[in-house]
Amino acid sequence: MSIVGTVRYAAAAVLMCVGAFFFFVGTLGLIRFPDFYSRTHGATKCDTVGAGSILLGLCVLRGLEADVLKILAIAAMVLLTSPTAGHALARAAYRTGLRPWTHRIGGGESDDA
Amino acid sequence: MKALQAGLWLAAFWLVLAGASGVATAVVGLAGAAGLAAWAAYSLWAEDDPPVLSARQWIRFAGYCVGLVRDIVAAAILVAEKVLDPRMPIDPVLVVHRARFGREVSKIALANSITLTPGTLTVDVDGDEFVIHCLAEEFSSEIRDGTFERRIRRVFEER
Repeated sequence: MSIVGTVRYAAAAVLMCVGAFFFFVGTLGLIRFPDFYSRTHGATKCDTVGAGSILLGLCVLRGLEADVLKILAIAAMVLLTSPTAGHALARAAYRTGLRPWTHRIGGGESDDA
Repeated sequence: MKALQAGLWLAAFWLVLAGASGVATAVVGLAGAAGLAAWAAYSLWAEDDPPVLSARQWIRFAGYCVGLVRDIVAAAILVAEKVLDPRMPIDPVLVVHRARFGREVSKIALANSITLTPGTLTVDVDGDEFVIHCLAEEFSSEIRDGTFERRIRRVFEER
């Protein structure tokens, strides 16, 4: 393998690992966060950074080929639909009166879980 | 103008998906794009303002995207720190921000950019009032001082 190919492989691997890391963090946030709204943060942010850098890694791996345009189209699709879906969920919850979790001074959990 | 821009986008999208697979495929795709664009311009967008951008606005939009990616990465690292911290130091706040825009597409762009940026989530948009859920108060500074809004205004509102 040529030097350029090796560097490209390495860059793609790094980008995909970064993506996997952010997916991991997002999932961990989904589990650890206290209420619906903050969990939505965890779920939607995986898509932005995680999917974004994995797709970018695939682009780098593919090099200068027509397929890269397809990957970019997928990325644009994800970046448009993921916040829309997250917003629709949060808006539905907000309009039905779900109150966000806040710190309660003096200890104890907030009553709406 | 709006039919032309929509048609060009649809044709480009078709060519990206179909690749170089013969003249017949390309002709069918281009005809479909022209038909869809005409339908959209005369029926779908008969009353509303479609998100058509001028050439200069497209250039500014590209610049805006680069800036947004930089902000998203910076915010993602901050959120990751909070998630991985055993004490999980989050302090969610709801921020109500008013932003007056002339076009519907600016509102969509602002709400979408806020939701894309880690740590902030647009919960509701009512008229020109944006309700934003922030994981901690520090994430809301760019929204509250209007930096975000000014950038959107420069891209979509100035001719």
